[in-house]
Amino acid sequence: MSDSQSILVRIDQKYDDRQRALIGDDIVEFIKDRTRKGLDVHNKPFKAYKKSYVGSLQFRQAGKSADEVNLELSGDMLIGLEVLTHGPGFIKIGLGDGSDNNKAKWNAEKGRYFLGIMPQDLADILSNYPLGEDDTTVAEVGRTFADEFLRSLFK
Amino acid sequence: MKDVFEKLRQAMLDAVTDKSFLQSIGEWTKDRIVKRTRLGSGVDSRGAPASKLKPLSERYKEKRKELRKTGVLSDLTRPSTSNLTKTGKMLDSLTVKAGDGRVEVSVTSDQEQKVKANTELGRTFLNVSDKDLKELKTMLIQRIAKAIKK
Repeated sequence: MSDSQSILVRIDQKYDDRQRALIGDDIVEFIKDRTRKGLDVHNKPFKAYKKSYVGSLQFRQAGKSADEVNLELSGDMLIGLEVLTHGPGFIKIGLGDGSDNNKAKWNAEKGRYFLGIMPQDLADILSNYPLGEDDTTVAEVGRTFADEFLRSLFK
Repeated sequence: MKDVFEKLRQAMLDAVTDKSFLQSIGEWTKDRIVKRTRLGSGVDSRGAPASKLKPLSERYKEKRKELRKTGVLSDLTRPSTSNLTKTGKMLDSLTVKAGDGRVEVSVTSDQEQKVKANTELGRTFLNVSDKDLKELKTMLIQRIAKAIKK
């Protein structure tokens, strides 16, 4: 139904495969956090929801409040945001799942843009990844540990 | 070197087994389950994608219309809506127990029969979905990253 909702983020070609994966994940988390705070791609508050939506059963079922414009109903769309692919000099971020993609397109059509990152915000993320310093091993150990722990987390 | 990794592993373990942290991710999981179910979706097994709950029978819809008239049916549902909500008590009873590195989300004992009956009718909801696990992994990674930086 909908066009692919994704963005291409340009970064220095010197970042290697492991660094790009970590930077990509950081960008995804930045976009999710910003959106959950109710801020759009330009760090401005989202346009208010329509009264009809605020009064809907779905809105109440999700336990939302009218002033909480954060593009979350079930919350699945934002969780679905991910690094789609990356290569030398670029990271592609978007929504792989068809249903999430449709939701993102619907939000964009309503004038609520969340897919993107401002240059300064990207620069802040990249400052954690100085070129020439491969400091990804500890982060990767942490990810492996998180995977293992998650398997036994729930009774 | 082995000692360094041992210390790193212990720091990560301490960070993710902290009781208040486990309680917070348990509460997050509980809220996800309640919200998802109220919106009409269930999860068949751990890690499966959420899917729409099986529709209600016509007979049961008629019964729920009566319950609406008498004020018994929760205002978080409609007579024809399949979202495991009649009075709302079952979903409201979800509780979290956290400790010993594990989390349990369950209903109170007086609601267990309802969960069992719904499961037998093909409406399973008390599970973590693929997306729950994806987000929980992110929470764990962020928690570990903070602990490692210290």
